[in-house]
This record gives sequence, C-alpha cells and structure tokens, in this order.
Amino acid sequence: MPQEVSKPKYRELSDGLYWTQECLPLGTLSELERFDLERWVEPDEDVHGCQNAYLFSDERNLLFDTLTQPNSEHVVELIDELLDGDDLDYLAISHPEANHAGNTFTILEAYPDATLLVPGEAAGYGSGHSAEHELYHIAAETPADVDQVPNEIRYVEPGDSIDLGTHTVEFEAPLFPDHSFTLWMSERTTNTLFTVDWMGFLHQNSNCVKTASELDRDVAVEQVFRFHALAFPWMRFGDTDAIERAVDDVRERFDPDVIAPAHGMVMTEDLDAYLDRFLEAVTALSREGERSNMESKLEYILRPPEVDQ
Amino acid sequence: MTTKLTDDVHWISSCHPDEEYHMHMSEYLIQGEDGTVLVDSGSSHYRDEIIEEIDRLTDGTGPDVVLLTHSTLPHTENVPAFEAKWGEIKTIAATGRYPEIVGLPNAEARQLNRPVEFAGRPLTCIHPLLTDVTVSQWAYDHESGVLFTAEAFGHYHDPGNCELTTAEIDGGVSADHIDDFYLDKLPFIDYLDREKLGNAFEMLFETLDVTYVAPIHGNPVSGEDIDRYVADVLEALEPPEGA
Ligand SMILES: [Zn+2]
Ligand SMILES: [Zn+2]
Repeated sequence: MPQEVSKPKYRELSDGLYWTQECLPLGTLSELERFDLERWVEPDEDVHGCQNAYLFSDERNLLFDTLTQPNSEHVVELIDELLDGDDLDYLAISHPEANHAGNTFTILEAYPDATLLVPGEAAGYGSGHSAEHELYHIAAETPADVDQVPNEIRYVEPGDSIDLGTHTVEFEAPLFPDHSFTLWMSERTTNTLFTVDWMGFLHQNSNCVKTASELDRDVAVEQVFRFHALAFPWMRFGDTDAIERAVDDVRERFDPDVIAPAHGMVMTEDLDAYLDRFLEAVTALSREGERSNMESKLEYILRPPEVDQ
Repeated sequence: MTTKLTDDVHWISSCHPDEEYHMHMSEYLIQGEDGTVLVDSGSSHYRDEIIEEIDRLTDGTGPDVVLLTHSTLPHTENVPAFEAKWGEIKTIAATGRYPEIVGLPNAEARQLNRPVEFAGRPLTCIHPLLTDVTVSQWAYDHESGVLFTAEAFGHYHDPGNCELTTAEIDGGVSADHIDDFYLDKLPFIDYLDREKLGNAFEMLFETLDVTYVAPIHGNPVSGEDIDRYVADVLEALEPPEGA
C-alpha cells in the first residue's frame, strides 16, 4: 500500500481555535516485539505519526506552524475555508524545521498582508545567524529573489505577546527543546500550552484528530516512548531527575488546562496523568542509553563492513 | 577553502563570521571508486563559491551522490542549485521515512546501521549519539576512517584557524569554543547525564577506527586529539558552578 501524507483534517477545539492535522501512516509496526503491542495497537491497524498546526480565528487571525510541503495546496484552501474569506494576520513559526515550517513561503504568498513571526534571538548565536534565510529557503520552490516577499517579518522572543481580540498568545522559552530556535506558545483565555515537539505521541488510524480523552482506548506509555525516542534522541542520555524537575516546572509555572503538541493529540483533561506517562516513557528511554544497552546496540550498529570480506 | 584531509577526502569550508569568532559551514567530498560523494550541501550564503569549488574538484561533472547529515537547513538548501548546475543527483536524506516532509521530495530515505555503497564507496550511516533535530545522521567512511558528524562535535574557531585541523591549531581547539557552540546549538544540555553519554562516546571510538571526526560546524578533529576533544565536550556539558 503506498504510504502518503494524508490531507489535513481539522476540528474546532474551542470557539475560534482550530486544530489541523496531517497524518503519516507508519505501517503496522507489528514486526517490532519490544513491547506488548496489543495494548495499544491491533496487528492489522496502521500506526500514525502526525503534524499539527493551530489556527486562531478572532478579530485578528493567527496560524501556528504550517503543516508540510506535500500539503502545500491544501493548507491554503483549508485556511481560506476556516477563516471564511478573512485575511490571515499572523503566521507564527515554532522553529525553522521543514516539518513545522515547510509551507511558510506558500502561505506568505497567499496572504501578502500577513506578518511572519519567527523565533530570532532564541538562537544563542543571535538572529544574524541565518535565521532569515533558513526560514525562507525551507520551501522546495523558493522564488529566486526572496527580497521580493512583501510580508513584514518580526522576530519574537519569550515574553512577547500578540493580542488577537478574544485570545492573547504569548511566546515561551521551551523547557524541552530540540532545536536552538524553538519557541513554545501559550494562550491565555483557553490556558493552552503549545509544546511543539514535546508531549507528542503516535496514534492508531481510527483516532485521527481526536483529543486524548476521546480516543477509543487509553494512551499507552509505549506510544509516548516511541515518539520521544524519535523526536528527542538526547533523552537516551537524559538525567531523569533534571527532566522531572522541568516537568514540575511545567505543572507549576504554566499549569495549563490544555496541552496542544505538534506531533500528537490535544490533551484537554487529566493533564497530570499524561505528564506522568511522559515521565514513565523518559525513564524507559534513559535505560536505552545505559552502558549495557548501548554496548549491544553499538556492536550491532558498528559491526565491520561485510563488503571487504 | 579546500583542504585534503586524507588521500581521497576533501574538506570544503566556508566561514560564518561573528563579532569575535567564526563558525564553519563545511562539506566534504569523497572520491569514491566510481565517482564522488558529497557530504552535506552547505549554506546558500556561500552557494556560488561552493559550486565553483566542487566543479573544480570534480572536473565539471558535479558530485554523483549527495549524502545529507541533517535534513534541516542550512545543511540541505543547495541541493536544488546543484541539480540546476549538474543535472539530477542521487540525494540521501537524513530521515528513514517521508523525505518529502523535510522538503526533499526527490531524495531517497536513508538506511542505517550497515554499509551502503555510494559511488562504489561503502559508508555506514548511524543515528547520532548527540544531535539537535531528529532528522540527522552520522556517516562513517570505512576506507578513510573519517566519521562525519553534524551539530555534535562542532565548535567555533578564531580567525586565522579557518583551514586547520585540530592537530594543526596551536594549543588545540579552545575548550571555550566548544563550550560556546554547545550552549548555542544544543539547548537541552542541562538535561544530559554526562556519564552515560561519555560511556557511549568511549564505546563508539573503541569500536570504530576513526582517523578524523569531520563536523559540519568545526575544524576536523584528528584521531590523536579525539580523547581530549571528547573530554572537552563532556566538560562543556557540565552545568556552571553553583547552578
Ligand atoms: Zn491519523
Ligand atoms: Zn574562519
């Protein structure tokens, strides 16, 4: 069966806040025996990874992340449909990675009045270090002269906020970043924390664009483990105490009512339970980096080439 | 801007200057049995000089294979320009699935953990022990013993040391340049368990016979400097006193 990035699906999470999701079918995974797969996926079920983008339709409209290039045509159609012909005022990018920002250019072209909000100083090396061109050139079809983009570009930093009317979003320093440019975002009225790569998890093909509490079964640690193993390879060598302290920080400092990740399902209830599940997943993940596990893994990975023998 | 690292591995580098120091944006060209393999594509800032240099090194034919260590920018952004100059090039993405979602619709997905021949040259791609974004890989060139890495093993350098390997730098790479680079590029270092990571590095270099660690953002680290260099990296990961 050919595997393709799905067309974006969407739903309204609360008044004027839309969740759009494209899915990546990953196959059945049943060849992997490391865990008790039955707990969360049947042998004939497809497992999905996903990319999410979030749209605020308010007095001023804002899109957070762009979905990916295979959906470049659909994403503009979808924004048009959800905004009912209104203009897009802001496109905010969590970090300049193609699976988050790949349609930046397509969207800017479709909405020349939209202001692009990009993480700038979040990069320690300073905004001068290619922040601008990285975002522009992320599109496969980059116009020859990027200076022709009429859109206003604004660098944002933790603490900067944007008043959309009913909603107010604020950019946040991420507690679990992968890339040095990454910014999280929060929204005050709904008390939502947009955690970008953190707190994602895989889902079954029957559960696309459902909130965690609407899924047709519980979220298993393995779903969370597999995702973080992929998205945060450093967690193998993580100091679990330091990670636990950061999770406590999320609970205390942000205390969100909704967690909206870029690669998982939106969590609207029982957030503490999902944070606990993450901690279980990261504990399992940190065991992967222990000497005995790495030894067998590295021997396998680095065994001498057969080509010479 | 091209330095010969080994008989058939060329280091092509451009320097990104800041107020105090420089950062490398490097590519490596491997002369294989049946053609050339280019590791990474470099930044668009230096597109013209990179193309000119590769054109010279390949007698106008361009690379036969582009192997990306990072499917994120600025490591990939010259691929379309290369194809416009030299025609279609076999490109290997640093991702096992869906290269189209990282902006590389024509690239092939990578295969990890076993030697694959590119232009007749066996290279093994592995998942990095330390990296930023997940769509990245390290590559080991079995014939030359060069291990190509991306974000990990990077460091800044002083003006004047642009084209030197670590063995040629007076006093070696400064630990501060390693420290600053890690602080800037790997935002999660406070969460790392140094002992675990140190063990993994140790095992890696016990298993592989590495002549050079060849980073994209740093001077190549010669084999004899690796132990000290790894120690400096681990030191850089140490939280500041009193934190
Ligand atoms: Zn799905
Ligand atoms: Zn330099």
